[in-house]
Amino acid sequence: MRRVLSVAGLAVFALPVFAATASAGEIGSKYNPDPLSALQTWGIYGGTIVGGFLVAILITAASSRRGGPPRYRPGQPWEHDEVWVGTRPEELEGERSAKAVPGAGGASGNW
Amino acid sequence: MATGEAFSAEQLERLNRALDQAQKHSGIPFTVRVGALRGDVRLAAERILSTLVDNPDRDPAVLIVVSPGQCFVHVATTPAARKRVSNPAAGLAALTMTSSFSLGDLVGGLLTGLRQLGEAAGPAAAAVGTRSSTTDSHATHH
Repeated sequence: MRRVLSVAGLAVFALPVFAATASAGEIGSKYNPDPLSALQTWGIYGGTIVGGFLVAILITAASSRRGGPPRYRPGQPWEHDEVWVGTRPEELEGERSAKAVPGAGGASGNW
Repeated sequence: MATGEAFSAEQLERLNRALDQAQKHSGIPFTVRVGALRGDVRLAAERILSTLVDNPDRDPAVLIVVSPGQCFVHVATTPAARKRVSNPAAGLAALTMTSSFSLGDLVGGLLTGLRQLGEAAGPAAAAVGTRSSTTDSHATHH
């Protein structure tokens, strides 16, 4: 009911506007204004489609180039140098020997 | 680098920020290492942990080692840090991280893992406060 009412309401406003523009403006006949040439027709109807594809291809290419390092996928071999976040042992002062820490805690996980 | 950088600068920035936040919140130094491990992976993690602090028996430190090629993650805590981050808490963080890693999200997993470990350790001030309050209660008892 509500949808019918809104359509009816829109039609009440839209129909007079369309009628007025149609009677005021020149719609033209088969010969006036001049029909489009073949080149213009191809340019408009073909060019729009080709242009749309070109824009899509350009956007895709731009976004994939800016994508940064390739995404890690599970099961892939890891062929990067080690990455440290935080202070790495080499940055700390003093010589330290790597040894087992008795009483150390923690947990492991696999995926 | 064999095949370019592992993480983008923006990803490293986010990781650094999460690490700083966890450190500031808990007062425990955190370190993350992403790369292959040789030999016994747990022992390798523990050996790296021992090089992070002056005295591994006394100083707190938390190390997260991730080896994406081996599909392995380990959270290592020194004895002092273990009192703040219990083994079940570390296991929960490891589980959180592996669930992200298994979807290929290394950075997201590390971010949530760091946040979770920082939360598990609790605020630095509170840890000091509980220690002083226990000594206070001891003093009143005596």
